[in-house]
Amino acid sequence: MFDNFDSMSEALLEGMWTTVWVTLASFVIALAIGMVLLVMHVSPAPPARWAANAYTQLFRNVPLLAILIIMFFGLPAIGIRADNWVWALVGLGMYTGALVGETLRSGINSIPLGQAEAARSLGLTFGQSLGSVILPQSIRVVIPPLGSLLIALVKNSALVSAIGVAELTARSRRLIEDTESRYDLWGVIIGVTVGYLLIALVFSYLVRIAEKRTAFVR
Amino acid sequence: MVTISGVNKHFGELHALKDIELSVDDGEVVVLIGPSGSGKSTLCRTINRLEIVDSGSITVNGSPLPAEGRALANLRADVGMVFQHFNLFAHLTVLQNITLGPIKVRRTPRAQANERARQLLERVGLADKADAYPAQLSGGQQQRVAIARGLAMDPKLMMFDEPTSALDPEMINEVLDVMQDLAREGMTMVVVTHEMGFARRAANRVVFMADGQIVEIAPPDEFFDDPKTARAQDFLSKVMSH
Repeated sequence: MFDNFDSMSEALLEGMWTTVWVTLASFVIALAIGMVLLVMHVSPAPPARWAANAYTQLFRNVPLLAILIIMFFGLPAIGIRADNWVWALVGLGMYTGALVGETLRSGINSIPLGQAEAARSLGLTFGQSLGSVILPQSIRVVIPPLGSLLIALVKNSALVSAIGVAELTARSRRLIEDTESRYDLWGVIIGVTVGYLLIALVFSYLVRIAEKRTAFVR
Repeated sequence: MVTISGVNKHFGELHALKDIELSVDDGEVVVLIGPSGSGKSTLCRTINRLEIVDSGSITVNGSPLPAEGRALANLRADVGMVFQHFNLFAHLTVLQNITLGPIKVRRTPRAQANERARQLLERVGLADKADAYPAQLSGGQQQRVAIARGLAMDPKLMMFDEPTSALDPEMINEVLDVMQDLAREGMTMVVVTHEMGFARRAANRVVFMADGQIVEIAPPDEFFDDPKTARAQDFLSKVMSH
């Protein structure tokens, strides 16, 4: 039954590895975008708030698959060229960045106003009270929802198979469609499922650790 | 120390402060009393610009309140503020709460700030709580830490916005005792409170407010024994009936 088990598992492991780094790299991009959006959201300048809002509405209301296809086919058509994996990271990062921005914003909003008033009353500047009082408390609040976004990103990364990045889903599809080697269908299905579960569970565990390390007595 | 002149403030339709005239001298303890919604907390919060007035002028130590920015931060550093709900920084220990301002704003070396914080904790009777988090303390203890946090900045003026209103009855006195000691030592204080006993004992002047206006200003004995206005007589008859 499993005559070509080795080549199958090798392909799936390579796919898993691609899924992991695509997820992590695009999450870093998403965090950076989210941070910029947060600053724009709380900015006193209205145009910055409008721009952040426009970005958020655009990227969270268009399907991720559509975003990827537009980038992969649309942008080269107007002369902007890059490798497939670049579009994968940019598309996933920009889409998830809109969600990260909203998560960070709700984190800051969850800190009682009195904390900022007390900080400002001591003579801390706006930046100091943000850095020493508001952000450290919001980090604790936003880690669980950011963790959920990370897990969602693991699964969303399957969509980049549509623009030719050989991550776990793309690899498994190739195995199933490879009629010559006749890979065992259920072997592939179980392999893919266990692969995604493993990645997601490890990430969940890391998020839990981060949550514990930022906890304080309340 | 503080001069408030012709100050008006609206919250939407509500005229919260009406033509307020008030000055506070160095070393003076001014207690603001009056019914809820009379504007006394709002007035207190205008002095360090937590509330921005619509018109009129406020000067602190001779200079008018600056707009938002570095100058305002400098002024706030000299004006201690104690809130009804303590507002201790939830993620910091008691000691870190007290040293944050001195370290960040005054650039005091950490060791020196810690030593001063421990002295202040001793003074408010909480020397053993330096490493506790706010959530581990009772309300009365939290409020005494908040007072120590304010004092750590060596303020020229301390403001108390209903400091005992959120406390259980048995914890009120431990906070009032600390405040009374401060008053005795000559700290300039503006206190919004419903504690009439404290007002009588600690105040140099009592300011009675109603409906956004200052109705009566008098030394405590005169105010409590012989209030001049019908509004104050009515208020005192209600709060003193038990």
